[in-house]
Amino acid sequence: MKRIQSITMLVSVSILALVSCDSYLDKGPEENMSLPEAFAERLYTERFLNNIYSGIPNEMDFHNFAFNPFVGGSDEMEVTFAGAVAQLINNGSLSPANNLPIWGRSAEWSRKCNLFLEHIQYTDMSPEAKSVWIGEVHFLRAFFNFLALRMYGPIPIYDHSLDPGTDFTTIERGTYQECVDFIVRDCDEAYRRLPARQNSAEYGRATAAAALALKSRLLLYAASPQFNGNPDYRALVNSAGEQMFPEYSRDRWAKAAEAAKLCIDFSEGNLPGASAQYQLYEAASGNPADSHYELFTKNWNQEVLFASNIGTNMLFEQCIHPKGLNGFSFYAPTQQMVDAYRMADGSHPFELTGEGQVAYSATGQPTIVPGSGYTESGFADSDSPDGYWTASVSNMYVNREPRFYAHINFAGSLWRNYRSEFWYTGNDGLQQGGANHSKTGYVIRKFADKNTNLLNQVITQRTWIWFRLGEIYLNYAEALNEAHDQVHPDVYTYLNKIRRRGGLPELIGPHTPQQMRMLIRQERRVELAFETHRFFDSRRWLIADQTDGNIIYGLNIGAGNSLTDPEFYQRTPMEKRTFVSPRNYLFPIPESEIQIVPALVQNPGF
Amino acid sequence: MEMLKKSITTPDKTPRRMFPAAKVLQDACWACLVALLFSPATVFANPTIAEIDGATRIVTQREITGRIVDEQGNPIEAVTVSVKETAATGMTDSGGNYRIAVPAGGAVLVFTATGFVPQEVSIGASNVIDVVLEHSTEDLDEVVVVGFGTQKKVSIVGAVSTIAMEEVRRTPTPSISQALVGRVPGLVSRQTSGEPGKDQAYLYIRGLSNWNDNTPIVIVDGIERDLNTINIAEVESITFLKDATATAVYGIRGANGVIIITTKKGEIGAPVITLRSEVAQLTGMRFPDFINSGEFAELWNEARLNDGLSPTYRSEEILRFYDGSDPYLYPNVNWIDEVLEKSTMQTLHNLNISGGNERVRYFVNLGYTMQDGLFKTDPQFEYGTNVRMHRYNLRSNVDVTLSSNLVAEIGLGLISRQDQGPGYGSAAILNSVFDYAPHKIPMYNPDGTFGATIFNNYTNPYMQATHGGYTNLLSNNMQGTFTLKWDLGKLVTEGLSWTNTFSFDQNVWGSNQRLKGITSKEYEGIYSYGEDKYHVWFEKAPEIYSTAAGNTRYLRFFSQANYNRSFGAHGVSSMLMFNLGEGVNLLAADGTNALPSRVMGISGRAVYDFNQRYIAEFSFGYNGSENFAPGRRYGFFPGVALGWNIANESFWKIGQINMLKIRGSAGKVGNDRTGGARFAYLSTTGSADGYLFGESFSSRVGYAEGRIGSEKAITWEEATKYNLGLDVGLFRDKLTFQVDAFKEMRDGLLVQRTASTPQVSGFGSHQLPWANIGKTENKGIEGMLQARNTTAGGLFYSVKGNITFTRSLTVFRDEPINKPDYQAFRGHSLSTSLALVALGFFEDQEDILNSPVQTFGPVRPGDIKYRDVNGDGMVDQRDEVMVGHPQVPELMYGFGFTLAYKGFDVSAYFTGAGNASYFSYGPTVYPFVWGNDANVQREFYEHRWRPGADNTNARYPAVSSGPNLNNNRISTLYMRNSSYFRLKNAEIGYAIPERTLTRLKLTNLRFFVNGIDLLLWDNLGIVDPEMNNGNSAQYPKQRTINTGVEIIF
Repeated sequence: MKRIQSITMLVSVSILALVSCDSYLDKGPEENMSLPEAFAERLYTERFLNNIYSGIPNEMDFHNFAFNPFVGGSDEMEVTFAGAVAQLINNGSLSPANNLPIWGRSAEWSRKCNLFLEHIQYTDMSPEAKSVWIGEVHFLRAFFNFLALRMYGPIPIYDHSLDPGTDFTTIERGTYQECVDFIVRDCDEAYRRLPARQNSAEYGRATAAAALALKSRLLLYAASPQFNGNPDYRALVNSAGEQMFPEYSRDRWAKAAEAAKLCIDFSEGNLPGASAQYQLYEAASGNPADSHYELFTKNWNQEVLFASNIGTNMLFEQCIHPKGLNGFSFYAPTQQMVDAYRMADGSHPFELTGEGQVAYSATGQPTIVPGSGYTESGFADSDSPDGYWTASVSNMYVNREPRFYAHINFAGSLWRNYRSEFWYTGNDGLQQGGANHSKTGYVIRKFADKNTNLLNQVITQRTWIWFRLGEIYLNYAEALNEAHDQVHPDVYTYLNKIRRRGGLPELIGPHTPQQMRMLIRQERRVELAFETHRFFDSRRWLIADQTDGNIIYGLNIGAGNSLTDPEFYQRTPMEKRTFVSPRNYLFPIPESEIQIVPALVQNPGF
Repeated sequence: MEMLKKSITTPDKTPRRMFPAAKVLQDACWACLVALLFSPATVFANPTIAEIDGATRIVTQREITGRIVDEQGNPIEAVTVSVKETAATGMTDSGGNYRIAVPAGGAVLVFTATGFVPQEVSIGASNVIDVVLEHSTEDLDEVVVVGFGTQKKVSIVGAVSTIAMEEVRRTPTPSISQALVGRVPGLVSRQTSGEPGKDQAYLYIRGLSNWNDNTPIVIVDGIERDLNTINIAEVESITFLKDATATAVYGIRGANGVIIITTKKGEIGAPVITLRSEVAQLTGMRFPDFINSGEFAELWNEARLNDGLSPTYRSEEILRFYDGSDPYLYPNVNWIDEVLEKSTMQTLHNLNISGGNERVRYFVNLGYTMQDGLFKTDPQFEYGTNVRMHRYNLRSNVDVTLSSNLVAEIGLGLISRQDQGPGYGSAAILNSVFDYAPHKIPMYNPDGTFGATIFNNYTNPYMQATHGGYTNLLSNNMQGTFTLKWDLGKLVTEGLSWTNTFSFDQNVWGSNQRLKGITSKEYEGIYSYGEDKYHVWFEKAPEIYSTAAGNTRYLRFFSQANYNRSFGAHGVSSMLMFNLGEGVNLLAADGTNALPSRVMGISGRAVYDFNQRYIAEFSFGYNGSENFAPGRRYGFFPGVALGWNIANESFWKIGQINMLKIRGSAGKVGNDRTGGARFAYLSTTGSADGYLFGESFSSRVGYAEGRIGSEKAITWEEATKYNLGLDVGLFRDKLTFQVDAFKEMRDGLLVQRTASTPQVSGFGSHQLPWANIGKTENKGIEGMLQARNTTAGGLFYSVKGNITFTRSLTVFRDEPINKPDYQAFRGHSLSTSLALVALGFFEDQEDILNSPVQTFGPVRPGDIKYRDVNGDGMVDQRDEVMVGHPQVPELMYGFGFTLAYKGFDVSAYFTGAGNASYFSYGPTVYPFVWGNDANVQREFYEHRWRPGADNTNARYPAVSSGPNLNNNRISTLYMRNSSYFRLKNAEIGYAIPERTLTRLKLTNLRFFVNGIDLLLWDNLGIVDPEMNNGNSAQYPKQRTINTGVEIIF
């Protein structure tokens, strides 16, 4: 027994002796790298850049995630999705309590850009390759800042990453012009450093064309009435005592036109030494509806200046499909959107307001232009020769401009050989679909890929196009029209390119700039439908109080027993939207942010 | 007075009438010093043996005989029988019989036995005196398990509670935590689920003190272990350590309090075999009550009308929902009835053998537990889809005496558990059961396939529960403890011992899930040509099979010296301990978490008492964790306590009060479970989201700045605790009373400075440095009252009760500088909710126009009217205020009684909680928030505001046909008082009388029936008041009715 005792004692004492206090606990992870250490490896620098790209929000989701409340928050569409941010916007209840992610996310990803620019000095790589990466990051910083600027107006912008010890209460909103200038400088820097087009394995990376496109849209917005001498913003002063929005200057339109033209000329190879890398997309069939279908389903076609690879997106596909194709019908274009499409001959079926919008009576009835050929009674007695409609569809959908058929699924329209049935007792209607019915009687067709089959769970890879040449044409036409007292010939040239591709006859002058403004606005609404333009266009034109504060109409989805039941085709109030001017022209700065940084001036009305 | 003096076992010879405080303190300090240095105690004189007056004379004698039994009538062996004021003594035999010769002049017999209250009986005419001895609760030698040791109960001055194991065993549950609810002062608890294997109650010692982990650590046989691995049948004792003195020895782990469980050990004697078998029926309680299809359709139409829309269902359709004439197109399915059973069963079996001799003592228990769930199954599948837990427990404690002063203790626990369940998981299925509206789909289509639609991923709840495959989890928990106790009394100095403990624990688990994709079709009526029309939502898909596993191991080593000795009136008890520990998570997801987590430290305690009258205790922990930066790893946590037992004073004259002890303690304890990531002090970079590039969407990985470290800042949080207590014992402890008041300041709660860092700074929440900046305060009072007695007629009764009230406040929390006080956490209870104050409902359009503008969404008559708290004329989120009570109750109490008479016993225990609030939210109380897909609670349906009706008693707003942004938000309208009072537990038992037992050759045979959660009184009605806030889609708690038998061979 003595031996056992000795052994025990020996073992215990040796354990005690072996363990010297701090070394036993010195056990940190070894693999952790500091930022300079990570940037010393080219591989990690590249990964850092990949991560910055991941900050590009998924604008393809119109429903819940607040990165794109804009499509459902405008008069284009109703998004049927419980808790969608678009619904807050539509009933005017968006308040400083709502902390939409773009506010913080733009700043967070700008910080990553700044960290990248501050640390790339440590990376050992060729100066040329390094310059391209630096150019990409300048574009990305410009892009992130633009996403916040278009929602909030002036935002705090940094050219360096902040230290966590910073006194955050000193953060302030600069002026709108400062923000624009900062973003423009980043775009110019990116343009200088980047190739016109990346090779196909690198699609998705920033290009010089993308930088010019961003600059074009930014300067177009900056020249527009909302930001260019808007009297409602005159009193808005930041904590430094500066007026946050500038006085009117027509020169901004000229700058916007110049930026758009540069983007077009550079992309199409019209500049000395440049080669044509981009062009307006046209389908081989020459059919305008096919062109608009393929533009959004043939990834990375010649018109795409900048897009993000979304990959498969199940929820999006469900939202854009009717129940009969296993979808939810959650993206429902409004009757107002349907009314915006013209007749095949280019004439507008309805009387318009002075702002170029369809004029509605108090009961939501538009006035049909006599002789336009449009009627809301009766049903088609034969199929369309182009396959746009079939016999028995409502005459509302007969003989409209081709883009209507490329963008909208309506009752009786054929999609993948499936006939949509949005009336009450129809397969996709309220009675059969339960929660999964279209709230307006329409479902979006734009962006839908015929190869997607929800029943077999076949879902195709999708891109979301941020900038395409068609938009820049329209940017150019609009800015040029505003910059001059007469309609510049280029306005006709570029507007007609869009109309021709869309299947509309070309415009032949003369028009006054005011008439032309209306035509350009109508064209933007149709050509760029559901691409996140309408929301910002209606605001920058200061017409949102007319377009977004009214009753939104759909069809009478609570009625109709067949395709040809006229009960279904009655214009029916879908919801009353609220828009308070000037409050709802900008988004509110989150209250939680102002509680931390009292110097952040709240936007008017909140 | 004379008697009291004599009762002191070691008379104090030194002439001291007064005990100056300075002297006491000096003695105490000496004792501590001596204790800590382990030096042989020479400063005190050796105890003198009481002189005995041997001058007794024998004159005449008379012989008296009798039998001595306890309250239950069991004979008591080894009772000392003496004749007062003479030297005559005797002792009872195993049958409890004695025989004593009484000298002349002897008039009173005195009966004393360990564990029993001494009794004196005057000798009368009879020569036969039978006596019933009461079990003593006032046992001067009774010890209580405390941190790293035991302590005499009388010398305890910290806040320490124990629980009587016979009470714990009355609760027939696999989860020991449930059996503790309401039975211990200072223990606050909530049981939020009745799901087998997941029905543990959350236990908090003295309420909440932080925002992270408030659970106490659980020590099983000296080692930190999971409470849920312990089987009630194995447990010898449970101690709760509450104040700083008691928990300081646990240093950076002790701040939330400590629960110490000691498992049973063998005692010298012939093998005793105990078999306890129990079978119980479990009945689900408080299933939510939903409206039927007809009501649903009418309500939906009402919602459409309220919204100014046309009704959807026509009257003939509604009729078909009501009359069930077309169950396929107009179904009315109560999914709760279809998917869930009303009741299920549970069995508990335990067989243990204990015994031993001088050399070896053993206790071995084998336990089997099976608890079934409430899900229905389809007999066609051989595998089980119901929730079911099987657990096998093996506990073996063997003590071997190696030599006269060396004892080895080998403790082994093996817990093997199988948790099976449906493939989709019980939580998902309960969600669909509770959410699925009754009118959507039939359970089966006309062709026998399952009805389904797009809602709920093309499944119906029954199909999910029975045909969705299964999950299976097997876990094996091994607990090994090896201890060597070396008594150094002879080698070094008396009272000194050295104990070394090595333990290894390993938990290995693996699970699999087999998820089946089943064809789902929606029946859409009949084609004109007579064939059934179906819409196929989902084609049968290959099953998905996945597995997961875990493997963690802990090694610990303790080396501990104890010194316990009495020097005359001075008692010293002390301990010094060194420990090391290392835990490894073998299957950690990343390199950082795969690193072993290590702790190291020393702890000590010294208790000094003088005559058990003045007691001083000092304890400390000095320990560290590798999780903090060098220089910030170790903390020193001292605790000190003083006690004064006034009833032991010579001036104390109230004989009925045998104990009156005032205790006070103060000290610091730490908490290193701060909820922060590992190595939070380090700045990190790491893998991050990547991006898809190129025509082929190739995925490229990303890398990013991670957390920004803070070398200087991060360490444990610190609790400063004060406790003031009073123990009172009356009538030789037949009535005891204890009350403690406590206050705790928690400082340095670890938080990320998210709330004071604006998002626009560019810091994402994951990047922000952590800092020890939070502060809370927790105050409370707890009390306990207990009475027990046996009447002359042999009726034993005991009554006991306890009550706890705690209130925790946030003193400082990272918050924006401009947050208004009424919304700030500071100054408010730790877990109250921010909610709007509902004033009622808008009566009409005029009422809306005359009220402050509500900005959440369009407002109609019948919508909720809120208070404009900040008076800015607008109701928005700036009008939310902190309201209600926390969900964890501030007030908890329990009381009960036991009666025993001639083998029969009856007991009941009631528990209650107060100052707690419940918020309901979610689709079933926000009707049609998901369109017409989700269930509506009858509670809402019957109490909604109706246009044109008398709405004076309306409790809920008018119904909307979609999300109602004004009504569907957290407000006081949906807040309920979740106080409750329940009959937690009751038992009736019958022990077979001894005569029959002898015939059966058994030591004991007892039958019993008992139950848990038998009756409930509360204000909530719709859901159990302990459940989590929200939508009630939680596994219901269950009422247990249990029958069992215990046989001791």
